[in-house]
Amino acid sequence: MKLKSLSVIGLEKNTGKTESLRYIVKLIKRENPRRVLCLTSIGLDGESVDQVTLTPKPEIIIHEGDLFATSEVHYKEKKFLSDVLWVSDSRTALGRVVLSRALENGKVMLSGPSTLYGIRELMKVAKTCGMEFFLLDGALSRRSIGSPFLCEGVVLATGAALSLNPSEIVKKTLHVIGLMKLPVDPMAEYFEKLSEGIWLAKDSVFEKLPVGTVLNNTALVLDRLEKGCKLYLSGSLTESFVRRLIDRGLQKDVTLVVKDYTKVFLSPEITELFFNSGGKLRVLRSPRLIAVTFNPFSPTGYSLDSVEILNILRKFLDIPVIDVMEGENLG
Amino acid sequence: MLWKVKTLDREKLFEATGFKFIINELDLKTGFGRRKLKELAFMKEPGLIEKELEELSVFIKHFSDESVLEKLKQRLSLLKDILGTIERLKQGEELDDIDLFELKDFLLTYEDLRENIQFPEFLPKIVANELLNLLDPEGLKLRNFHIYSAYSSELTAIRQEKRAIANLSQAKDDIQERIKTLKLKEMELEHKIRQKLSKEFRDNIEKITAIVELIARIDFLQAKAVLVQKYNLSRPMLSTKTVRFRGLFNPEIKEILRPHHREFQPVDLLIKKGVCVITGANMCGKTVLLRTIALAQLMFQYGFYVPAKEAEMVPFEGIFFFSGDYQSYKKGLSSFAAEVLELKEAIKHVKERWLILFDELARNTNPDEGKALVSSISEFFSNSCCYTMITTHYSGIAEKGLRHYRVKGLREKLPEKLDSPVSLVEYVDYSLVELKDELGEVPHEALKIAEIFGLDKEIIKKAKRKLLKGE
Repeated sequence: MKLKSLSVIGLEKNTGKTESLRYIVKLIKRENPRRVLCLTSIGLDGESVDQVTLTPKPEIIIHEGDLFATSEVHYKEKKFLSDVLWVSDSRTALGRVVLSRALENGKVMLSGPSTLYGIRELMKVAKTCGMEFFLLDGALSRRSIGSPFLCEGVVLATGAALSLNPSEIVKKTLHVIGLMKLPVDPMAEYFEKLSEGIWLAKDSVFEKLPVGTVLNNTALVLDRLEKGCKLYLSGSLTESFVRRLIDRGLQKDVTLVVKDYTKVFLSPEITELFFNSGGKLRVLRSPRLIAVTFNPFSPTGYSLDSVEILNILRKFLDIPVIDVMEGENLG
Repeated sequence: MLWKVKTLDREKLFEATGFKFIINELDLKTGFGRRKLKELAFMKEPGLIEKELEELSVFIKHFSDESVLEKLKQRLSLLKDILGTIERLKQGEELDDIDLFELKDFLLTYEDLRENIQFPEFLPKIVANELLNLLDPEGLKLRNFHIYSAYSSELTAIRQEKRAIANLSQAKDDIQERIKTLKLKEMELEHKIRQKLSKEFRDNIEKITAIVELIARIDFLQAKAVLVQKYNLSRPMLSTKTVRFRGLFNPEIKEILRPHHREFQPVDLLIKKGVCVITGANMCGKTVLLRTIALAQLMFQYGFYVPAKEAEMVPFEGIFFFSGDYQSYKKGLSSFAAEVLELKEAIKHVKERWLILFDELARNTNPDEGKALVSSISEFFSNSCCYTMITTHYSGIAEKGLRHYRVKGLREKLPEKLDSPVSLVEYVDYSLVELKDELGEVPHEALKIAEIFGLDKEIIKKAKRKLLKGE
């Protein structure tokens, strides 16, 4: 693996992110056992503390010599020897973040910085402590929505937790991957500089529309659309807006631009309808998806026959699709 | 001696006088310095104030090389707040590895600061090396911490054995069992070492607190020194009788005027025991002057240099600033009733040496009674121990026995029209003239100002006519 940082994003809660993480660690260690990893996860904000305390989060194995960052609370719970290297100034719901080096192998619960700023700060410090590879247990929560863009590469974790119906899993997974692969608009760097809001771009003239979100005044936005223009939304792209766009038959004429895939709140069905009827959707940035991992076990104890699902996913995707319980190279 | 005033009043005073601006300008680098700011005491003893000012003066000389001062600031900012750890120590708690790491990091940074930057003589010399050694049994001076094997030979032996058998086949039950036993033993020993370390630091708590206090002092001194340079403040001389300013200015307003390319006109004045009345037309800076006097006095008694070219100052028992800003009262009381309550408060201090500043006294009532009230209050305070200043635009207040300053006011040459209050600054002479044995006639400049700012011509014409007729 030539990347220097990777974040693992779960398609939904309990889709086996932790197994995916374990698997990646194993893979990197197999390639070069002396590569210094730094493991952490996006911590939880105040409201979600219950999630940490009530549902048992599996522990991650840390290898001797590797770095890891976790909250004070979880640091004090671990039972192996490690050297404290740095303590953050800012606090998460579980206390400050402690960066340390494992002096022997052991297991720990990971709960790192809860903000993007905190993660960036940690990456910087870890680098000065000799980190060679940063592995982030990312999150889908709104607050840490930028986590796919903090690292060079993204691994998407999907699995039986998503649904018991294999075709449903395939559909949902391919849908998200489709969004992740939305093309970057050639004018992205110009859109990047615009303030929050809804902007109309035609012949390189940018105009800010007098509405906050598309939800406020959909008709006003739709009335302004004409052939060949681009509509840039700094906020979310909603299902109802796209529906009305299609109702008016405007989807063929305009190009929609959003910040990134996390701003797209469309069901697989409407997405398909939109694209099939000539709709164009672009982003300002797209994550570098390098692999998909699949966990056949659901947290409720079910297990699926992974072969079938893996085969379908592999047919549609040009990146490695890995069964975390079986194993394959990430490429 | 602490100033016994409710925090709310203190906050109000700081806000009204602009001392809050000064406090916010302090660029403190450490949590210790910021905490000191909260405990800042109003000094009344001349000796205390003099000591504080002398220290600041020595400090400024000592760090006259700007690059050294920069280095100091940069190193101070590396010191992390360990007050939580100190608190836990005081309460007899056992420190954990994170606490111990923070202590070590703190002590290393402190020692580094001490070795690289020479402090002025008046600051205590506190060496922390022995404390540091407690957390660095291997003497590596590295910024990390765990319970090192070097703390105990028993611990070393256990860890060695654990490591040796961990590499053997782990599947065997007896090996697993042995590892478990060793692990327990190791944790027990680690716990004992933490307890021992905690005790040693608890025994040295005074020294740690002294270091923290020292850092807070240095941080505070550097922040004050930076202000002195930034605003061109000067060291006030202590006096027992009179307050005298040459070139008094308001740093906050100076900053506001700067982007408009306008200058703050400094003022000279003298304040004695008794009452001094300041008169002048609207917008001629009476309120600003009073606020600035209060600000300079606060800065002086909190141990800062003051915003003037030269200053001679008297320590007061307290400062009363009557600003007429009754936002908080307005809900339930008429503004005049609120004024009366404030006045009653001021009168409580008539037997002590207070600095009493009344801005536009009795402004909220009719001119006849208002004037009479201001007159009698002036008389009342002229027989007190207070140093009192009253601004007013009522004429004829400054009777015999009272000192009287007049703000010069509008200059001869006036523009036809102005749009913003800021631009008026150029057309006002803010300097003070002391009037002696003259009845204090207030110049009638309000109409002129109203005209410049474009008030309806008809209204102005009518007002002028009424004035002539003496209505």
